[in-house]
Amino acid sequence: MCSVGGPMDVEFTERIKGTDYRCRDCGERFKGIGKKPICPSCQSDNVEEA
Amino acid sequence: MSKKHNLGLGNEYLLIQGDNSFLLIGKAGSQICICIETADNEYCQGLSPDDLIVVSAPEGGPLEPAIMLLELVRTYRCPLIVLPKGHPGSKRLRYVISAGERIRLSCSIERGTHPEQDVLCANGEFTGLVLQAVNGGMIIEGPEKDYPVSQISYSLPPVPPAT
Repeated sequence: MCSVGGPMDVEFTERIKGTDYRCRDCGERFKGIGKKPICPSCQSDNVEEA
Repeated sequence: MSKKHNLGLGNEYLLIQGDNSFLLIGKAGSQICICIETADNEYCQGLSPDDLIVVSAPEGGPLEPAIMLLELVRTYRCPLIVLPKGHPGSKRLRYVISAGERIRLSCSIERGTHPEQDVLCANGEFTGLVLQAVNGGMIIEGPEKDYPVSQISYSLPPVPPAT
């Protein structure tokens, strides 16, 4: 079963790391993860690393 | 074991029914961004139309809340809230969700406290399974067991016009 109610939990050696991006369409700055960064404000994939 | 199941991009879901729990799987359906909110940061993950959104009900329960949770993320782009480790609310979570291209089920994590989207809390009967998005469907990889998989469809009721 899951660890609910108990202390068991696997700690991942690599915690989540984001890359800073800037949207070229709306200027929004955000921390992206994954292979396909998409702007959270305008949903554009026209983004660049900031 | 590796088995492919077809799954479209519309209002279709795959239901994997276990003895004590279930998994509900849908496609992202379009290019969307989901936001993952932790105690000290926000991470934004882009999804392709074929990527998976998976709801796990580790204790079982009604199916409707799982559909609602999936649609809150897929249709209404609600952010995913991640609890800090050891948060007392973790044990209240009966439905948890992850989204991405490849999602591994694990019973060894604390519900709702992992921002990583490639792992999802599940009942022990599903631990070790990996759900891999493929074009037009999904592949289930993992321990050799014949989980009943059924396809269901559901459409959101029309929203009444604003007054």
